[in-house]
Parts: sequence; C-alpha cells; structure tokens
Amino acid sequence: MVRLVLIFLIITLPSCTFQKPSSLTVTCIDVGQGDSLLISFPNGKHWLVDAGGVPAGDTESGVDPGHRNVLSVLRAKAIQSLDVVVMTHPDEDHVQGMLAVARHVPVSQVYWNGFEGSRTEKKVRKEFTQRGTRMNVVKAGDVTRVGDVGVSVLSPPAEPILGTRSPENENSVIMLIRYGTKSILLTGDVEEAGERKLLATFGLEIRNVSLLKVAHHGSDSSSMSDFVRRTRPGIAFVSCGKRNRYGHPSGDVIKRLERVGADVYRTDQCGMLEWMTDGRSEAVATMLPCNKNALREAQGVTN
Amino acid sequence: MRPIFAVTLAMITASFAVATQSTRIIASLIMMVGVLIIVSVPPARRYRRIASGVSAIVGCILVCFHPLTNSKESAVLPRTVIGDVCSPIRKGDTSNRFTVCSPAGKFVVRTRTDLNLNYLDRVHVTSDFTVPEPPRNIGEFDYQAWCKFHHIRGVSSANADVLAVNIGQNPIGSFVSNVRLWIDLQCKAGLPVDTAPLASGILLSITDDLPFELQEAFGRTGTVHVLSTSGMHISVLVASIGTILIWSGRTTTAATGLGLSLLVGYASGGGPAPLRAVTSLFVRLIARYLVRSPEPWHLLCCCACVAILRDPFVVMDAGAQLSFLAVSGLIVAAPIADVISQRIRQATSLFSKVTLTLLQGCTVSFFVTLITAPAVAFHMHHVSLISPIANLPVGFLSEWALLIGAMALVFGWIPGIGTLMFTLLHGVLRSLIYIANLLADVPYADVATGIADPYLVIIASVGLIGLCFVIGRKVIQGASVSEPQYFVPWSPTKPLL
Repeated sequence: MVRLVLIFLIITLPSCTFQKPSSLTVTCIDVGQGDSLLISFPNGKHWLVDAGGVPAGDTESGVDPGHRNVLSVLRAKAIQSLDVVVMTHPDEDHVQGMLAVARHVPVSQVYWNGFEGSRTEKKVRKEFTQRGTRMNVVKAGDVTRVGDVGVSVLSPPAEPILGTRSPENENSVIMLIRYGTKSILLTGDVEEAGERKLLATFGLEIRNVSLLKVAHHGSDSSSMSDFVRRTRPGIAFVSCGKRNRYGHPSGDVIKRLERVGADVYRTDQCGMLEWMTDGRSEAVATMLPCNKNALREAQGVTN
Repeated sequence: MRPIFAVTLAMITASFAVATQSTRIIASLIMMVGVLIIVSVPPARRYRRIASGVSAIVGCILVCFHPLTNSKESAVLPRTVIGDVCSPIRKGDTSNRFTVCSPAGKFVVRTRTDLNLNYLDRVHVTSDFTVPEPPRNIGEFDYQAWCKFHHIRGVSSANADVLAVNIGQNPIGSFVSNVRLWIDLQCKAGLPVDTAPLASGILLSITDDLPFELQEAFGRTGTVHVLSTSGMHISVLVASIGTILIWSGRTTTAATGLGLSLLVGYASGGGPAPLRAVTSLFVRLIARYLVRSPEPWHLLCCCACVAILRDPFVVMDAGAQLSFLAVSGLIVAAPIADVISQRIRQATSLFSKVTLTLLQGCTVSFFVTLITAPAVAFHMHHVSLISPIANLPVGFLSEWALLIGAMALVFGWIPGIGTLMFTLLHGVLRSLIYIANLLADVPYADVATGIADPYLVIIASVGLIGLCFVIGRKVIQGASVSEPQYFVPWSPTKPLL
C-alpha cells in the first residue's frame, strides 16, 4: 500500500507546477456582441467587468454568454470566486450574463453606476443582494488599491450626464488601472458627451494608455478623434460579435486608432484576447490565430 | 496478467496512440500500465504470460488495422452527400440537427425547415459544408475536436440553404424513431411543462427541451449521468422484464430483456454508455446461461474491447471515458460496500440500519466521484464537491422516476392507472428538480479546476483506480467481489434483481 502511494507521488509530483501569479492580466472574453473583461491582479484577486448578453432587440437565442463564455473562462482559469464585479451600465449586452455569474460564482462586492435599467439588470441586482453581495454605487474620483495596482474610477461624474441620446451609456463606469509604468483604460459604452467630460476632468490622467478597451464595441458614436489622440493607446481591444447587425466596429474608429499607432485586436476576428504586464513589459495573446496584417488587407484598412 | 486485461490495455493504448499521436500520452499510459502490473498483479504462469503477450499484440493489430483508423478522406468537402441518417433528429430552439453517414464520411446537417425524416432514412443533402470553428474562449466546448474524434468531416450552417430530401425509408429506423417520438409525446401529454422535458431526459436521454439552468444544476451536483442512458436504465428495464415475465422461461426473459435493451440503446442515440450497458448485459446473460458468474473487471474489459472495436476513437469521447471510469469506481467500491452490507444485516436498530445504508451509498458515490474526478476536471474544468451526497437522493429519485415512467408508458392506456402513474412521476420529478437546484445553490458545490494536463489526468485516473482497488482489497481480505450492483439506498432494482 505504502509502496503504491510512493510510486504514485513520485510520478505525479514532478508534473505539478506551482505558479504564483505575478502579472496583471486583462482577459477580454469573446461574448459575441457584448462586453466582458476579466482582470486578474498580481495578488491573486479577480475582478469581472460586465458579463456580456444578447443586445436588446436581437432575436438571437440560445445559451446566454454568462453560461457559455464567462463561466467557461472562469472554470478554465480555476477561479473559484470573484472579489469585485463591475456593472458598467445596465444594458442587456453587458449585464445579462451576470445572472449566471451571480448564481454560480461567489462575489464579494459589486460596483455599479447607480442607473437603474432593464428588467434583467434589476434581476441581476436582486440576485446579488439575495446572496449577500455588497452593492456599491461608484462615482468619479473613487480610488482603490489592489496590492500594487491602483484602480481609479473616472466616471460616472457626480453630476450625471443627462439629456443625451443614451444617458445609460454616457454614465458608464470608466476605470483607469495603473501598474508600474503601464495603464489600462476601461470605457464601458461611453459616447461623445461622456468622452468630452472625461477629457475635461481627467485629461492628464488618461494620456498615453497602454491598453484601451474601445468604447461601445467600436461604434462611431464613441472614440472621437480628440479622445483617441489624447489616450493614444498602444493596444486597443474591441469586443464585438461576428457579423453583428450594428456594423461594429466602425471602419472610421479603427482608422482613428491605427492612426495614433494603436495595435487593434478584435474579438470577432481573434476570439478571446489577453493582455499581460509585469508593470514594465507587456504581451498580447489571442485565442484564434490572428494574422493582423492579413486582416487589415482584407478590410482595406491602411495606416 | 490475464489475456483479457492484456488485450484491453493494448487496445486502449493503441487507440490513444492513433487518436492523439502524442508520444507523451502514450508514454504515460505505458508507464502506468507497467506500474499497475508490477504492483497489483501477482506473477503469472508461463502459458498465461505467453497468452497475454499474444493477446496484447492481437489487440494492437485490431486497432491499427481498423478501417476507421486507416480511412483516408479527401481534403475537399463535398457539396452533395447521399447517406443514412445515423443519429436521432435533435430538435433545437431554432433548428433541427442530425448526422448523415455517407461513403464520404459523416456530416452534421442543421436545418431550420421541418423535415419528415427518421433514424436510418436515406437522404440526399445539398449544402455548403464547413469544418467547425475552434472554441473562441478557453474552457469552451471544443466542437472541432469533438467532430474530429467522431469522424465528422463537415457541418452545415442552419442559416445556409440546406436541401435535404428523403430518398428511402428504413423500417427499423422508422420504428426506433417512432418509439422515441412516442415516448416524448406521451411525456408531454401526461406531464406538466416543467417536468415533461426531464422525464424525456431520464427515460431516453432526450434533452432537447431540458432547460439549460437545470442541466447546469445537474452538472454542478455531479449528477448529470442520470440524463444519459446507461447501466441504470438497462438494470431497471431487465429487472422489470424479469418481474413481468416471471412465469416464462429464463431464455424468453433473457431474449426479451436483451431485445428491449438494444432498442433503448439505439433509440437513445447508440452512444458508448448504452453500448457498454448492453454488452455487459449480453455477456452476463451468456454467463448465466452457462451457469458461470462473470468477474466484474473481465466484464468491463470485454465492454471496452467491443466499444473500441466498433470505433477506436471512442477512447477520446468524454461520455465513454466517464462511463467506464464510473463503473471502475463501482467495482473498486464493491468490497467496502459488501462489508457495510454485512454490518447492515447484523444491525438491530432501525437507526443503525438507516445510517449504515446512507453510509454505504455515500461511500460508493465517493469512490465513483473520486475516480471520475480527473476526467471530469479535464473535460468540464470543474469538479463537483457535493456529488457524493447529491448522488444519494438524485440517484434514488431518478431510479424511481425511471421505473414509474416506464410503467406509466406501458400501462398509461388503462383509464385511471395512467393518470395515477403520471401524477406519481410528476411528484418524483418535481422533487428531483428541487433537490438538484437546492444542492447546486450550496456555496462551493463545485470547484473550478482549470485546464488539466492530459498526462496528469491519465496518471491520476489509473493511479486512483489502482489505489482504490488496493484499499478495497485491504478492507476485506480474501473476500470475493460480487458483480457491481447499484448501491443507492432503497433502490427499486435491488429487490428485483
């Protein structure tokens, strides 16, 4: 018996790898036409920003992205619980998948913008509240630290932006994450008015970001020239569905981003995207082979 | 080493070799087989050694020269395919799906139009077939790999123009399809909408209408096996047949049981789990006819050989792996369960009897969960922690649901009896749904395991079987192991079998 256990251990132990996370990783989960980002901090904490969903009005049915995509990624990354879940705004394509997350993954606290929205969003908040998750409304200026990483909330402003086409989008939770020399700007679905407000209030902070999560799936109602020039991202992630009916991302937005030297990665072409940094250097990995030059030629996009 | 073990191990190793072409996996398999032989098998006599060696070589040859391992398919996908419908027609939310087996290979056809097609019908399909896409996120189901290991060359998109014409009906296939359809319709007619899909799932693995949330609840509690046709179905079926035909001879009962098992196996899709169960029943019936008691490991090896002979790539199928590992768990748990059974018989108070019976169920469930855990972690990326407990009520209720469901289908035409049976079935199924959801909601009911290394999975699976086998033998020194039965407390099949 002892002999058997020893043989088993001898064979198994060398194969085990004990990895201590030391990098900040941003995973842009491919949830189709929606948004979902998983942020894994160097100290082992995990945040989930949105969880995808089927956009309101789409007739597409099937398993919701929370189950199909987000839970799959969390399980594959052996994530047992989430420290923070951020609901940037209450649109279906950002919060629908949260239901599955709320039901199946223990969550410590939720950050949201305080804007009540769809029935799904109310159901999500109810689900979180029933499970004892703390619901925190965040505002511009809120700051927190996760180990060596600083997280600043840049939006929604204390005075919400109203009277626009889509106030929910304009008041999305926007976060700036800093680690060493690298910075990440997560923009939710913010549109022109929100971007202007952001430039006016936090213009200095958002200069030359390393990674930009392009707002509103690359829609031309967002990512205005001024905003793109100011942020001047090194890498830009666009989360959008394959052959989506909205025509996202807009060719103009891609051109604007590439003009400032951004390396644009799209979930509809490359599947799940992952950006890693140790605070000094950075690397990008894609789930599907993503020959960016070939893709550019196919789209007719030139620098 | 007995020749049956040698031939099975050789066939499994050869199958992994041809399916993965990974020297690392093959090396780990050979190493583990070697360790098992050295540790657990006593030195054999000379003639048995020779027989084992010859058997191993024969096993390798059978796999390496199997037509499926040597099939050469052209890289260009055809646009028109003539073949037979070789899977049940699965009805999805937006499209119907079935597989066509043709001389050019297997093709999955998805169409939005309602076709008057049955199992085994000959069809003429015109579509733009494509190779399935790889998963877009880590951890997602790899449909591309699944198709590869199931010899599926192309799939048609439900959105594309698909023209499928029925050009020949098969009476056996029509009969099987009609049985499947009839069961589904009977369940829908006799039960409310919340329990009818589960009844179809438990009775014949028809999970088309089963809510995803409920499937997820079964997955989280490690009880998803109740939704696939397996040994439990065959046991209940044969036990029922044995009771109904108690007045007839042994041969009639055996033949009827086998015939019905084959029908159930085919109607549920003819996957590896039903194939294992039917083969096991067939061998057991022959053994009983010859007044012999088959040794459980031999029986399992025999089933593995049949499954691999049918398709060498079956070793890569998650259902097949879990089915065989689960039965291995039942076998290694058998000695411990036998010891607890003896204690139950000796116990005087009702409290002790109930406690020991629950302990027996939990022990068996624990062993099965433990042995299947590496494979579950590899395929699903999460392992249920609550499974040893959850399997007790869920296994118990699903067996009763199966038995009552079968009786409701058979006697449903008698006024009053049918209503009573379906009402009972509804109650059992509601309890099942409630318990599955309740246990799935327990915090940390399952744990995410990450992506497991196949090398470690093989080592852990084989190592755990060996370890549990030795523990079992230590628990009862020298006692013989009976064939694996179901250890669910108050199982309806126990008094029948």
